[in-house]
Amino acid sequence: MSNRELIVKIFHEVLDTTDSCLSSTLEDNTVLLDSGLDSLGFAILVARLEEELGFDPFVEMKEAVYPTTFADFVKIYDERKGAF
Amino acid sequence: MNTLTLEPFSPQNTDMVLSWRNSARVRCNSIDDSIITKESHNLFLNTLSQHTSKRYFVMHMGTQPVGVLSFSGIGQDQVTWGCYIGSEKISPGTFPLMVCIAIKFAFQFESTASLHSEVAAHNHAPLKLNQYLGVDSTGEITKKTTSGKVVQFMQFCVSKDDVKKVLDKAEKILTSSLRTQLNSFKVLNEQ
Repeated sequence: MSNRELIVKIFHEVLDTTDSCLSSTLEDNTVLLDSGLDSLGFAILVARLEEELGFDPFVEMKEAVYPTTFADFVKIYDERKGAF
Repeated sequence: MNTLTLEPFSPQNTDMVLSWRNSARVRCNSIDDSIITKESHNLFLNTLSQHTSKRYFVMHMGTQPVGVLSFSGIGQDQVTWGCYIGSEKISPGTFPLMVCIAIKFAFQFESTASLHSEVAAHNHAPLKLNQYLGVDSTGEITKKTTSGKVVQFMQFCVSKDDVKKVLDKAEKILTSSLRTQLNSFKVLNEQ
């Protein structure tokens, strides 16, 4: 399973866990803040991804970058995976 | 590993704190929604130095300042806390982390029996987080902000008996590095 597929799968799980609704179809250009997940949802998403992938790319960043779109979010995980 | 520190308010962090506190994003969720001047902030710093029951901190994750945590009632049985996130660039999980730090900081004092907070009813993220963590809602109150707006606030309370339950739930939504930071956070220049 690619990072993207895993993220999409867990993203939907977290929407259910937090009683949130996806505002529209999750696309690469979906703006995260408008996606339907709030700060609680993103905390859970990143914690769940750490369980699956074994790393938290945000804590490892020297300078914090908050992704704007869904594609930016996936890229952070792809780049971290590729770096090791 | 990044360390998590609480730096007390001081003249050195005034400009940064005011740039956060005076942003529309923070003021719209505050009872005092006025613009705070540097002069009045300096007077406030003088007051803080004379009242040990009030503690105001800038929270840093590594070298990055991320927000403010405030406490009043330290040394008494009821402590009240508040927070706001200052930086636009924060790691996911920062907000639940702030809740955990508030609980750990407040209940390190023997006298603390309960930790209280108020959240504007239109501020959905903290309301949802409190609900998710099982923090008891104790009521609601209507208040007039400094600018005269009437705002409904929801009141929350963590009692000493609930600390473990809430922290256990919160730690499940933190990544392992954030949990490590939480368990080793430091208060700078503690008197």
